[in-house]
Amino acid sequence: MKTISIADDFTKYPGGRYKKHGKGSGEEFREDFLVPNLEKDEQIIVVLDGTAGYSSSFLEEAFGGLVRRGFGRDRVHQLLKIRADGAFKTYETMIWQFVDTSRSENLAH
Amino acid sequence: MWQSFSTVVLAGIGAFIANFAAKFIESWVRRSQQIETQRDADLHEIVATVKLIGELSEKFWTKSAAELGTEDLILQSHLKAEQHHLAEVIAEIFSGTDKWDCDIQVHKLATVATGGNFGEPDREAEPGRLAEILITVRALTREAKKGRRRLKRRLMA
Repeated sequence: MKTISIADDFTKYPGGRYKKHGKGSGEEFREDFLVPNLEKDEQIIVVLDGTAGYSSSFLEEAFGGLVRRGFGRDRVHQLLKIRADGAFKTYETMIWQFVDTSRSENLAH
Repeated sequence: MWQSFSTVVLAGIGAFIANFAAKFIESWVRRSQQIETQRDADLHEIVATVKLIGELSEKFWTKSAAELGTEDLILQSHLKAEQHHLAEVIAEIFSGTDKWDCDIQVHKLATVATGGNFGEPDREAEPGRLAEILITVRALTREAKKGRRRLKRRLMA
């Protein structure tokens, strides 16, 4: 099982939604960190702690975007674990709500 | 002789226990009062933070990123910081169902206040979001007040 810390491995300052508008976006995190591991059916733990907070747009694109990208909700629940403490627990709740309410646009995965 | 000596000793022990008990109760009451005062302060902080998120959102969502220029980046940072602070205080004061009820409203507020095209340089103004943000501000304030009322009051506070 691989552990990815957003603060240590990606950025301490998560940004907005799309990659085209700069570094630290939700799309960039999804494509560079989440998708390559989930495609290999590898379980990953994502650590949320240590960043300067998250915008809802970042979290929705990174995690809700997995479902839009074709990963089934059950598969996401099975392979993705979130680790968060204190205030970051709230973001964990948000992530699972985004995963559970996002609509699939591609059933390839 | 022995009887008077034991009377003096017992009186001393009694005085010590009474003194100790009084001090113990006094510090216990003071601690309970401090906890209740801190909870009230936390609630005020939640209410103020939520209100501030509403005010910042008014400035942010009524103009496009281009119209706001560098102010867009400043408002983004303020909104994210206040949202994070809100989650922090809620995690400190509430637990269980009360935290969950607040978290649902925090999630709703975050989704409208820092969702959509938040953080995108080509973001358009979306004044339509404001009504939903302000409704959620009220709902979260109410939920936090309900949660505070439900916190078990400390004895003799």
